[in-house]
Amino acid sequence: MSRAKFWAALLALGWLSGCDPRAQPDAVVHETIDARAYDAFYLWPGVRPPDGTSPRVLYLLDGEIRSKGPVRFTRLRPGAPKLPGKDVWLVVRINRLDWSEAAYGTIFADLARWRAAGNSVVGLQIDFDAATKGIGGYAQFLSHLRGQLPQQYKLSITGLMDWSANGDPRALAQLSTVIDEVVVQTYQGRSTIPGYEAYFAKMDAFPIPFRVALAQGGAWTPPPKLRRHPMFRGYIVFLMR
Amino acid sequence: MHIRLPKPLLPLRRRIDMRALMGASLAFFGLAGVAWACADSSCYPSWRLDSNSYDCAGRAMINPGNDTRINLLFLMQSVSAAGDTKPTEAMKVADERQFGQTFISWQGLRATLWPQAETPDDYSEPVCLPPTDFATELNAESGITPTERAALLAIRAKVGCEAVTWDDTVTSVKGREYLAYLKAADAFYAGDWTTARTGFAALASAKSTWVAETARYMPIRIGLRSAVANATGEYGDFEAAKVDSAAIAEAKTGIAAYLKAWPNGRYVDSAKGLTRRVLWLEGNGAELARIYERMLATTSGQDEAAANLAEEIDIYVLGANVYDSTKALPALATTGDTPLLLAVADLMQMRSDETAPGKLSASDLAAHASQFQQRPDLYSFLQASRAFYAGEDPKAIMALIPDDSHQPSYKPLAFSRQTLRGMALARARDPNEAGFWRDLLQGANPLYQRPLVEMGLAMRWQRDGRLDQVFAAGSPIKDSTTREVLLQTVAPPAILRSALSDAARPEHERDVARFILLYKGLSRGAYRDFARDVAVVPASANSDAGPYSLIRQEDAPVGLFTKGRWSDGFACPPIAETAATLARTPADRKAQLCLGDFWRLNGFDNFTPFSSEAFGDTPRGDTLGSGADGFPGKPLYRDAIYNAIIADRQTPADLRAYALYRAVRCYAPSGYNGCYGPYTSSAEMDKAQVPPEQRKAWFTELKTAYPNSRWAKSLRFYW
Repeated sequence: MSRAKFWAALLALGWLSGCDPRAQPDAVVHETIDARAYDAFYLWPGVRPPDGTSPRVLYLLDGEIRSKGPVRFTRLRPGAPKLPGKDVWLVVRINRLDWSEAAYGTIFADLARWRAAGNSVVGLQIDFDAATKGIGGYAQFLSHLRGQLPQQYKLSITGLMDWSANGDPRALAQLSTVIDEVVVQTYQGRSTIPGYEAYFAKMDAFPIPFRVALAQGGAWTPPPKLRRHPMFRGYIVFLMR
Repeated sequence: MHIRLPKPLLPLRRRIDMRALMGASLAFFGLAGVAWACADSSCYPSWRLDSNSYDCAGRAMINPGNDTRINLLFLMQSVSAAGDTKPTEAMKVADERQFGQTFISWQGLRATLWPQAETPDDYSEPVCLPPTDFATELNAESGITPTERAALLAIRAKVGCEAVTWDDTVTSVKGREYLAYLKAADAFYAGDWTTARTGFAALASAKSTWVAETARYMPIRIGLRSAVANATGEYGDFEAAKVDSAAIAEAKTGIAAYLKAWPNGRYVDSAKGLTRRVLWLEGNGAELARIYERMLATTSGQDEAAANLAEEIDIYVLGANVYDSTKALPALATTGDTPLLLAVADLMQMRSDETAPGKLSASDLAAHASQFQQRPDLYSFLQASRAFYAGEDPKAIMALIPDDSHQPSYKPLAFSRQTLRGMALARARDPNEAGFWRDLLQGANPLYQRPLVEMGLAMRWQRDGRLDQVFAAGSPIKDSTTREVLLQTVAPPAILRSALSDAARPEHERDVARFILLYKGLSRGAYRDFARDVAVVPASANSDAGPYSLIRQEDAPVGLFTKGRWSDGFACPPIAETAATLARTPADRKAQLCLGDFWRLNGFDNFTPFSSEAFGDTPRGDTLGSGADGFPGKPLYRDAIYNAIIADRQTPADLRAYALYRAVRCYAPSGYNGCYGPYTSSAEMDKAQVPPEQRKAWFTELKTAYPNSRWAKSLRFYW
């Protein structure tokens, strides 16, 4: 089954209803994210860059550590990618911070495995929904992770707009010494979060290099001054199909 | 929160990537029980009964918007013979505060019903763990020395996880069998199928019965694992077309052979369970559906196995199978004997939104009728649901679901039917609607069901302009979050005052009433009332944090009004005094500026009480708390204060200079107006920005008209 059919089938099943018009900011003309205009993508297992794109940077979800039961890294991408010539980030989704040594070991082994398969592996990205309040504990965890992670890999994290905009400046400053970039997610479901402009408006002093993750097909008007933000490093498109 | 967060309008990102994008890989690579964070902190319920598109906040009634796992579990609870266990007082919902007791997430429901959730049975492939309690079996064997046992256990700890150094000091017959078993297992985990096959085959007649039996079971695992071992591509993810069908056949044969050799063996359940995985890998969705249907009909809805089954079906039948096979779901309509699965699929097909109507037509559903011959109540519920969500005549819905509102208790399907009838009564503006809800309340389960019925009744009273009945002594509306929604949105001052003094109600609810009375009084110009109301704030009132979401906050920070910050440079008295001044002299410029500083210094910029409207929504009248606010007046925000003072040339110089200073600073540092109050749409936000030339003009006027004021001296930029 082709990708398009797969998604059509999901649509038919109602997994994904069409975009709710309420999600579209009203009365303002926004551009819609067309993946072909970008070269950095987030890919979950089972999703490929659409035809007509030339990916340069790929964030590939490798697996997760779930909140339930014993700490265990669950690999969702069984094989190593073989994508020479692209910058590849290994993404791990986590619901908890109490990793076992085995979890660290498995993830580091995957980084090595991906590199051995001929990929240019830039680093590790942690996708964790830190509540705004919880950034402190998260920073501690990341600091420990940074200490364990082999030097050649960079460390990236995803951040929700809420804490990127409203996080305690001191906690953010602490984070900036530990991580190499933050990817600020602007979407929820298949849609850009309405009101994202207001969040970006509060990110002027954001002290960490960041990319902005956009939802494919979502609405997007670049907030004023984003392009000139000294820490802005470009976009990543979360691919939907 | 600095702007009102939108409620999730669609499957959350969680839902998308986990359920849909990865369903296929999940199912194949060993993840029958999908678990992720509970209710996402960005999930806000829509306070209404109906739910026409996927909603991260589910309801106690079976409906199209519920997570399919919730619907599956409710159906199991409805058809299973096991009686309904009334929840005890000790049962608490496990979702986030904004869900109240009215809404549920799948994870929250699981955690509430089965608090010590075990890892679900996993009929897929574990990663690094040999299939049984090896140590127990080994220790029970005779004829193996303690030294050998220790050596074998040490090896066992490494098998499948790290490189093993093989210890050839094990010499006893059974000890060597265990060693051979471990060598075969290690080959298995290393993906060396040939060595694994040969190794286990050689042990089929081992002296150790455990080794012999396990060796007979392992070909199933070898088949299943080798079937998908090379089914990956350029991106390292699963590619169904590359599944090895010979290996699936090996697993299938292995299951039959094991069950024949060990009909009462220790792996019988596992082997039978793995049959489902074989069918899945074969793409035999129709047969798989029949098995699941039987399990749905026979698994007790009171048993945690029901939750595990719901999760498995959700992946294998309702989501993932479409990845490599189009057979599964369409097959449900034609298998002829899977009504429970078909019901859940039909509900999914009823989902709709403004751009896409429901996909299930009346004639589509009529074509499914024969499957529901044994379940007429389920079928008429589906008919009524379809009609309701298609916006059809409520009388037809009432005809499909007769009044049965006097039962002592309701299984989920019976409850769903009656709630739907109540929704039809509401749509018909039936005069007996409130009476119907009151009857239904008597038998509704206090866990989830009752709060939903209370919401139906409260909305009717709200529509009828009878909010007083919601808050009357002895009111049947007991759910605190429901009441807090109404207190924040539509309650007039009199109701807020009686609610805050009602000692029978929880302190949080009373604090919400206090907070809203003070907040709306102060922001809507009821200064005299404010000055009186603030005098009776308890000394212990909380002032730890700014207000962001009173329902989500553990404590409503009422103490901000008595112990807040009054000044950070521009001298102001406590807000009670400021309000008293404004009560006497509403146009007192200094007091107005102090009011602005109170909002600014205590985190009220962009604070808004609960609203049932999402960002960008047009006002709607069909949710709890929507409609006209019973609290009179319009809120006055900071930029309106500054604009009025700037426009008034009679204002004393020091006050006008401060207004100019503050007006410019409204745009610091982002260039956006942070003094406007909460934005409800992007259009409103755009409109609220004065052009940079105006900001420059304010800046220039401050610098030139009041060059000696401390405000002119301390302002170096405009934004």
